This record gives sequence, C-alpha cells and structure tokens, in this order.
Amino acid sequence: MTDAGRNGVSNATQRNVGVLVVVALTAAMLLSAVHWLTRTPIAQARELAAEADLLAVVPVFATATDVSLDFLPVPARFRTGLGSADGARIYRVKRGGEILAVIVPALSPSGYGGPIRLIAGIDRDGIVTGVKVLEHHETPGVGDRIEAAKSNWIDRFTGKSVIDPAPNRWQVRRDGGAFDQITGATISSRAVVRQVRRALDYFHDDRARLLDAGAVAAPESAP
Amino acid sequence: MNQSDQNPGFDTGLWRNNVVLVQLLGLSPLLAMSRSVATALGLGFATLAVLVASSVAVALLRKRTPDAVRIPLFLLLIATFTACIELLLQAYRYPLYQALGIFVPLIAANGALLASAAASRERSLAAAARGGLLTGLGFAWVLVLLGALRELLGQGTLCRNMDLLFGPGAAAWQLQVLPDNYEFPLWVLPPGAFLLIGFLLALKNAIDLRRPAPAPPAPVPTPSAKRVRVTEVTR
Repeated sequence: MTDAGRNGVSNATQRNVGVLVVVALTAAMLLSAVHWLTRTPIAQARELAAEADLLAVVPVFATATDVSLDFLPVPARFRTGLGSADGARIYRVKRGGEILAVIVPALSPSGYGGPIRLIAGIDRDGIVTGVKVLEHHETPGVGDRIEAAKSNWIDRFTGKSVIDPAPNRWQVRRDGGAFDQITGATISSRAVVRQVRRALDYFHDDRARLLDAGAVAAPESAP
Repeated sequence: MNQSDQNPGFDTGLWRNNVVLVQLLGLSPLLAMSRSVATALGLGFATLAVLVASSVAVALLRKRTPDAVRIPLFLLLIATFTACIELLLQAYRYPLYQALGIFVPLIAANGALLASAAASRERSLAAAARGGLLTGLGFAWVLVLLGALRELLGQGTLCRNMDLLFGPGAAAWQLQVLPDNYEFPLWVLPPGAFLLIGFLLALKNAIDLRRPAPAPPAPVPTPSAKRVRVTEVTR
C-alpha cells in the first residue's frame, strides 16, 4: 500500500476494489431479483395480517359478506390523545351507506416496558366490539397477558361504553375502577384501560364525521 | 490443512466444535429467540439457510478473494443472503417474520456466520456446503432444545404456535405437558435462558469428560485466514 502514493493506485488495490465491486453488483442484482419476486406476496401477507387484526375487533365484519371497509386519517388534533402516528388510519366497516363500526388505533405511551399499540372496535352506538393489542413490550408471563393470545383479559372491554361503567369507574380496580387489573401487571393494565377509554372519548368527539359515510375517505380496495 | 478441517466430520459441527456449546457464538439471537420451539425452529432454519448459502458462495469465490478484502466480502455475502431470507420470510411466513422481529436482519451480525465463511474459504464447494450445513444444524439443535426446555419449564407446553411455521393446521400441535395453569416466568425471561444455556454447557462438558478422549488431540489447524476461537475442554 505504501507504494500506492508513488505509483498511483497499486495493482493489488485495483484488484481488491474490482473484486468487491463485482461481488457487490452481483449481490445487488440477486437482491433486486428476490425483491421483485416477493413484492406481491409480501404486500398480500401484510394486508392479510392487517385485516386479520381488524376482523378480531369487529366480529360482524368477519361474518357478514355484504360489508366493505374504508378508512379516514386520524385528524391532527386528536393524534396526541390517541397517541397515533402520522398516517394512522381509522378503518370503518360499512354496509351500503351506513357505517356499522369504526376501528380506532391508539397507542399508550405508559406501558411497563414501553409503548402499547392497540386497536379498538367501536360500533355506531359507541359500544366496544373488541380490543386487540398489536404491539407491546410488557414482561413475558406477566404483563403480556394483555395480548389476546396469552389470556382473555382483553375481552372484558367488549360490550362496554363510555357510560358503562360510569366515566369515573373507567380505571383498574386498584384505582377504584371497574376493571380488574392483571395480577402483577397493574401498570400494563392501567395503560390499556386508559387508552381504550381515550379511543372511546375520541369516538364521541368525532362521532358525526366518523359515522358520515360521505366523509372524505379513501376507498379501500378489497384484497 | 488437516483432513478434518478440509472435510468437516459429521461430529464436528454438531458436537465437538458446536458453534454455541463450544465456540459460544451467536448467543444473542439464541437467548432471545429460544422462548418457544416455534420461534427457535424458525430462526434456526433461517440461520441455517444463510449459513449454507454464504458458505457455498465463499467457497465459489475462494480463488478470487484477495486477503485484504476477505472480511468485507464475507460480510457483503452474508448480508445479501440475510436480506433474501428476510424478504422470503415476509412473503411466505409473515406471522413468523413478525414473531422473529429484529432477529432476522440480525442474522447478518451472527459471528457464527463470519466464522463459517472464513473456514469455507479453505474448502472445496462440497466441503463448504457440508460445513455450513453442519454448523447450522449445530446452532439449530441447541436453539430448539433450549426453546423446548424454556417453553416446557416456563409455560408447561411444547410446540405452541407451530402454525407460525407450518400454517393454520399446525395450531393443533400444541402439547399441554404440565397442568393447564402452570407458569414459571423465570424460564421465559432472559435470566432463565442464561441459566439453561449454562446447564447445557455443563452437561456437554460432563459428557465429554466421560467419553474416552479422542485418539490424538486434533492439532489445531492454522489456516491462512484468522482462526476463530476454539475452546474445547482441556485437561
């Protein structure tokens, strides 16, 4: 290498760079090919996974065949309360011109191990049809029971609304509320209860627009 | 170059120079993804695939690889195959991909792969494929054993969530070995993984001590490429 300065770029360096460039180009071509081949299946898999989550919180959508799905963006002024990111979508299940239910995304910053991302299905009357935790970092074996796969704790929100239990009872039992906390995971439970309540509050604040089938919505193409 | 290194014996990758139990490489994904048999099998398979592919690629290029750039070249190849596996997992096993999370791209950072690539540079194509396969199997069997132990001790089940790998039909494969309400979170948490891998290491050493010593202690070959750490039981 010390000769390189004197003789320009040495043969060895040329060779090294040459080999790396050829291999890198080949690798890039291989990757592009794989990417191109898997593009469609990946998009399908993502859509399927997202749809399975939506089905879980709005049972009517799973059984009825005459319903369709569209979505609205979360309005900017509600994003802080819901904790949703830019571009988060509120899915709406509709039959004909009628909105049957909406699916509100919410993110609680106050989980025990980090943020908890969930979706809440709420029907047109403001009754919760289901809640599902999509992502969390709670303690395995303890706080992870907020997940539907680990326990049925999350089912207790189904059928509740902003007046049932009474607004001041929308808390875990430890705080004097109506919801049992998961043993050993009060913080996780509290975070979920609070965020479901926020989703419900949001539904009532934005109800008129959410239930207006004509509201500006991007039509969701059926997969 | 001695024979055993040129054409790795069956025993070498799986036991005598096991990438986990002897070389202690790739512990981070091992500990993180051994929570259940399903995730362990998934990551084990993905790692195996990348290992075989990168070993073969390194062996193919071995005559054209200048010494000075061998490491960047190995990393480039490993990263490429890791990215391919990541795309394929996303396309055809999306739920598994979600369950493995960050540990799929991190396959590229698994030291076992770089070590295997370095060894493959000294080997023929067939020997490299075989070496990669055996190293990968050596990684996978420890991963799956640890996954089975942790799942069993932590949650009382075996083969839970196998549908991640084998489709919806496999959801029924779950075995409830211990009573339904059994739970012992320690084993699911990282400390439990460390304890269990410690027990496995001890067990391996105990078995080796009881076996008759291998005829002549295989002379540690010193290939031109840097040799990875080999820590066998010495007495």
